[in-house]
Amino acid sequence: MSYVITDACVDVLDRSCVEECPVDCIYPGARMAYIHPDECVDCGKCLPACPSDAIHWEYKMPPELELFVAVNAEFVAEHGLSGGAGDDATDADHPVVSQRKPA
Amino acid sequence: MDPESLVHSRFILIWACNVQSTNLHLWPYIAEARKRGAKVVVVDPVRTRTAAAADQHIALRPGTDGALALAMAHVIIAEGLTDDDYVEQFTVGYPEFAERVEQYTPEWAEAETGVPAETIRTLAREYATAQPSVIRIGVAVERHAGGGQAVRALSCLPGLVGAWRKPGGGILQLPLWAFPVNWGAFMHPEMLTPGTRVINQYRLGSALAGELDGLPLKALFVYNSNPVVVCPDQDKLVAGLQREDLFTVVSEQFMTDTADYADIVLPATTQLEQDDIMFSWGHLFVTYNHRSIDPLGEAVPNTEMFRRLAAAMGFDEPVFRRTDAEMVAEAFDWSHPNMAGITVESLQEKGWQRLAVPSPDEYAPHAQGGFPTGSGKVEFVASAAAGGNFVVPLFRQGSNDHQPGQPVDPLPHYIPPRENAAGDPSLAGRYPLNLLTPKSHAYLNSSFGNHEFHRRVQKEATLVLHPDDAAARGITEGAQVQVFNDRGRFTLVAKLDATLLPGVVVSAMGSWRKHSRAGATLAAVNPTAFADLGNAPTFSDTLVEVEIA
Ligand code: SF4
Ligand code: SF4
Repeated sequence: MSYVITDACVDVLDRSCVEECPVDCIYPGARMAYIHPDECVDCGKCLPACPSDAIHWEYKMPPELELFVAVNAEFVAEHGLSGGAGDDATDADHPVVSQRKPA
Repeated sequence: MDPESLVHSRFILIWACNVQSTNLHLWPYIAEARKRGAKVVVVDPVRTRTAAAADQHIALRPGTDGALALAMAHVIIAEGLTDDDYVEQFTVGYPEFAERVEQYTPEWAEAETGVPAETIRTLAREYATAQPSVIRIGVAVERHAGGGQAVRALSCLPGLVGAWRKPGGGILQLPLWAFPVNWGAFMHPEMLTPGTRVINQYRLGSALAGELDGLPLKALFVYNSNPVVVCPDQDKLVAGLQREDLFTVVSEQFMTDTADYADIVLPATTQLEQDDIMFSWGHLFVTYNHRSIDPLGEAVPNTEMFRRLAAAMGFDEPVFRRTDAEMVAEAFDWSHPNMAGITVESLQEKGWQRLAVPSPDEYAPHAQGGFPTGSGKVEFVASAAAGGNFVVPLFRQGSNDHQPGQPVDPLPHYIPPRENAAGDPSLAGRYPLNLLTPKSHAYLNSSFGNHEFHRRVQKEATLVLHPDDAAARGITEGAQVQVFNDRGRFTLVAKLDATLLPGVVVSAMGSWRKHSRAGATLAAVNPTAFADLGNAPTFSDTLVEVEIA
């Protein structure tokens, strides 16, 4: 259960949400940021901070963005991300994201 | 101390408090301290999300917090890690305390708590030497037979090592006392008829069943509470609420498990519909709450409810005719130095203002003593113990009548849990599992337990078991189980977790009875026995057995 970042973040990645998150559970990749579903405390603080409205609550996902629930979870699992992002970014993305053409 | 000062702490000991779930706004200060090099250690029987996020998690057996704290004091004193100058100037009773803790060796504490003696030594050394160090203590420490003395022991540690000297040092539970609240105007204890009976809400079930001394209860008025979920002895309590001869009035925003049994439900406003002024348990700001909308329907704030009730009952004292604005004006001692620059008008304009105390970078209120104790110092030997066991009147609407009063040892000492194998082998034989009922992640006690968002985040109530305890009972993940003891039983879904201590089972409190699988929540098995100090409940001092349902 958590908040989920979706494709409106791709190539924006301005990290406003990272600044807001009280538990540091948002992990920037190369082109998009990802929320760790087990570390997210559902506080909702990141949602209004996003300039591109990329963040949604898992239970209120627009149907066409539903796949990003798995995208967020799989990315952090794949890269073994946990315990806070700090100032680090992962120089990679989930395949769904890296396949997107740059705008 | 100021929670914001935690950024300056070098060693943060979070004791029985799941900060990320229940005190989230403190976590960013802890995270910042950590960035600056602080170590964060969590002491908790359960690997909470806070424990998982810390640098170190020390899992101790439920209810043995006092043993760990006293053994830390033992190590600090035995290894000469005390701040002798602070002890000399700003504490009372050090020689007696040092003599008392001689017996509490790390090896003794290992047997009691399950924490290795070497881990205890290292913890004590790091806590004492990384100054300023802070302990964030949760109420869970209080919830067993020796809870009061456990808190006493913990409260002695910062004085021992001089943690109070600098911003970011000390012990933090609630910074309430920095607010010059005009308690007398809030509560008017002088209006209480002397001798009025005080009934502890954790005995409400027994009270309704007529098991307590005194006249039987004929009427019950509940506001700002949901006793069916938060009080123990649920079966008895619900049976009491169903009494035909009991007149029950509940003032509520929602049809809670308690409101279900009311003869009359009075609609109450939410904070969005009323003006209010607030002190805080978690920061040093005074807040003014402007209502966003006028009250919906016939809802009224508590203030208006009691004004109308008083008028209808013929009480015509001026105090019952005060307007909300007059009550706001009386709420604080505005002439107190901490209120410099703060007025009702400035609060109404700004919404919130920080007390006029030094900034979090400078605020060390007890660097030179100045504690609210008889001596103004850290009292290893507590002068307040002379009056016997008592409840701070603040928590009884100002009443000082009918205090428990039994003698109290002024020196901290260890009282083991009431329901344990050593103390009661026959009980432990029948009910070998220790049930912990921590605050849930998504509810505030029972508040929000009816709300769709919060229920989805919290998910259905579960009983978390160690896989070995589950296997021994043929319980698998997702199985429906019954948890029971002599007091009652409740039914829910099993969840396995190998990080849990064997012999401990966990179910988060707060979910509602009407959402439960068999008409009962964990309140059905919780005890009504009090802890050693202040008639506190002992929810963490509960033995149960579990079986497939
Ligand atoms: S909801 Fe809160 S915890 Fe979750 S990612 Fe957003 S800010 Fe972080
Ligand atoms: S604030 Fe929005 S756009 Fe910026 S990194 Fe976060 S999700 Fe991406």
